[in-house]
Amino acid sequence: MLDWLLLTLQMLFFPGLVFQFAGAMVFEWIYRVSIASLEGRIGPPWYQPLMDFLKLISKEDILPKSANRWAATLLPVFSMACVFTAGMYVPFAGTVFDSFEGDLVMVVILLSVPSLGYFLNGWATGGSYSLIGANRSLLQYFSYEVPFLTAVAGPAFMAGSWSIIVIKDYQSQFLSLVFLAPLGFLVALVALIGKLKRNPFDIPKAKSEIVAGPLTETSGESLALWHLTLQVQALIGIFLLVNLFLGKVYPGALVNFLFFLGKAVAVQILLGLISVGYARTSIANLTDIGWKVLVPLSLLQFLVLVIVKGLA
Amino acid sequence: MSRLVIPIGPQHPILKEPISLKVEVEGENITHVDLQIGFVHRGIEKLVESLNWVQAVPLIERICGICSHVHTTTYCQGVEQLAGIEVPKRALYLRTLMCELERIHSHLLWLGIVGRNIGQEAMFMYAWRDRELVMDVMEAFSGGRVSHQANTIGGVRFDPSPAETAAAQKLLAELESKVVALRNIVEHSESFISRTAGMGVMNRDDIRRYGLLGPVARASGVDFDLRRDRPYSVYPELDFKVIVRREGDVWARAMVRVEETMQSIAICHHIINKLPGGAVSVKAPRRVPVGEVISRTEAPRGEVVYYIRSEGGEHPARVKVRTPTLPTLASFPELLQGVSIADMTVIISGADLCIACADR
Amino acid sequence: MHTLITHLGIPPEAVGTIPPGISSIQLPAEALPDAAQYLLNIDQSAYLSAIIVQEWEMNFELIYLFTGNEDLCLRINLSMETPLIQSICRLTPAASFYEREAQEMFGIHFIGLDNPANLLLPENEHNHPMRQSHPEKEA
Repeated sequence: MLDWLLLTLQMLFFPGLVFQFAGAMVFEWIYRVSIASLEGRIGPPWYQPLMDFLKLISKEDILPKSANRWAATLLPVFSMACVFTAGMYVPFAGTVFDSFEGDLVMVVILLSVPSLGYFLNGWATGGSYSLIGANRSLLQYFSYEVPFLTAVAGPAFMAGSWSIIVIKDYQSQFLSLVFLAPLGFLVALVALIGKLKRNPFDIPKAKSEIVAGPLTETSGESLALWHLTLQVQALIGIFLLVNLFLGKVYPGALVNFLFFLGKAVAVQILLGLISVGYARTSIANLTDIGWKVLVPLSLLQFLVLVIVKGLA
Repeated sequence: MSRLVIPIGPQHPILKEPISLKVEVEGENITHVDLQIGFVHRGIEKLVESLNWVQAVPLIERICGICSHVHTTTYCQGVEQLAGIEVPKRALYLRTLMCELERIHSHLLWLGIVGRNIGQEAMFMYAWRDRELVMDVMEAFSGGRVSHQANTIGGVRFDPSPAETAAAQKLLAELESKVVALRNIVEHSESFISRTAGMGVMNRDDIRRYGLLGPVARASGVDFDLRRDRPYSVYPELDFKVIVRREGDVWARAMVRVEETMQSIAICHHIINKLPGGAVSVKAPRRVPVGEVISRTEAPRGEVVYYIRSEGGEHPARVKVRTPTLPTLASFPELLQGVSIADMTVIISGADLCIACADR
Repeated sequence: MHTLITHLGIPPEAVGTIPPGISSIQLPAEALPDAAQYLLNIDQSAYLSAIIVQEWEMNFELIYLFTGNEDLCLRINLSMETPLIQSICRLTPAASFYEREAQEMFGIHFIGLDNPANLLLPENEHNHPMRQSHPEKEA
């Protein structure tokens, strides 16, 4: 009985719904403020992401006649469920809900489900902007997913385990893997930008080209859930990178907590920096970057790790 | 992949003003463009005929929200020529000063929009922040940020004191350092160059066939600037360089525009230093003698042509306005053939459209 | 310009100027394509700058403004009843938009215009609002 109660509480509060929701809001705010300060603006107040969410969710959901209402309603819910589930298995400052051998693979796959949902949303809601955006998002998916997988395979190989918590503990014994695998970290970071569809890889929803891509015809609750999905995806992606590449644990619960948070915020600000510094790439460029730059780099990094492990 | 028609406009994030491009795409590439304009046609040419000579000035100012001063300058200059009015030197200097301030403001506005459309929000923020400085100068002079109401037939309607011109020079000096920073971004930023170089290339022949003008023509190696080649107002007394580049792509257009902004700042300093004293306007007669005139000026986007005819009465008999955006629009269907959707936005914004001017 | 005058055999009284000193040549409507072609050929920097249309008491007048090494206006009179003229948009595509505007605003018919649809006015508006006979305001 108590087990069930505990499980429900965990799912609802920590590390489940409420925690991830709040985290996503805070991190979204950090992202917006960091971009704003780099662009010479002030940026929104801290509650802005929450207000945006509340406003959208209270609005009417309008769809074109040609849209598939079932798909358009269910896709964001399903995608959101996937990222929230992934979030349950990514350790936060050393504490984790549950872990098993192979949870890294599961998390990576769950994190990529929204990309598929995003693509399907474009087809389900109809409209020419949505269709082009959907095609682009699929093309983009194939460009960043392989490098992302190869990059996160590096730490798993070093630790000899596909469990995030083991990889993290492995780093506590030595040093954070980013020092050994800087290229892998960079590749994973760039691929993460592609995953989150943020500038310079916001090609599927390029505002000045196809308005909002697959989400053009989405409105109200569905749009709110899509935004939330992408924001939680950002949070979990960042936590994952911090665990895999910057996973050194510091003594003392509070110190460790602060360090973890600091690292996550730093990664978020780094993402903002990249976003401000570059113009949007074109889709042809993205495929080039994905397959001619990121994949070779991540393979090279893997090779280096193999040699290092062989020597050690 | 099947063909798809995507509507760009009348409402679309890249467009600041309404035009409609029905773009037929195959995959990512454009196969056909159907252009429609006229959404903001207000019939100003017809309306002017029912107003008297002076009443027409504020109406003509409203042809455009960006280059409003250039339109009234061209109109007033033409009417003054028709009526044989001797405009005081100081008025001409002040009028030219406003023209150059407007050119700075228009070019910076354009740079920001291009930055935004290629996904570089930071450039938009910087360019528009810096543009505020020149807006402040214009506001201090004439009281208006967009519609200045600075011109009248026979002179100008503002007379800055030495303290005001000194303050303007200070702001302009501040602006200059910021434009240098922007020019460095345009010239050296890998990311900006990769999105604009080689886009929408037009050679001299294309420019001539379509009759393209201004910075677009000068970016394709056409060494023509009305300010130098058909001197009007006080331009013969000012020295400035006409910026010409040969590449003919959007990047060259950006370079021409930022360099021109630098030149315009220099011209402004020059004018303020040389500013003569005296009256700023003379009284204009109610009736203008019979005759016709073609008045031309170099607007931020190229040559503005006014044909004005008087039948000796209190009203203009015909005012024909030719703005530089019209030929630019005419070139789009051919220019956009075969480019990708991503490049299309760069090319459209690179042309610096002013739809309100084109539609009138 | 002088070569154009001799080329077309224009009488001296047809030559004039429009202030501020732009030369103008009065032409019959048939001579326009030939004159435009000749102008664009002899001056490699010449381009069509504008087509100005205006209505006199008895006729329409078209002014083709060419900008080049030397600016030149070609003036053509068209009758009120049959305002017909050859389009020059084949020679220079710049003419297309100007001609379309003249067509819808004044009802001047251009033969061989590449796209006869309305440019600025709504699709099915065929009232030629710039004509003097068109009321400024609806009653």
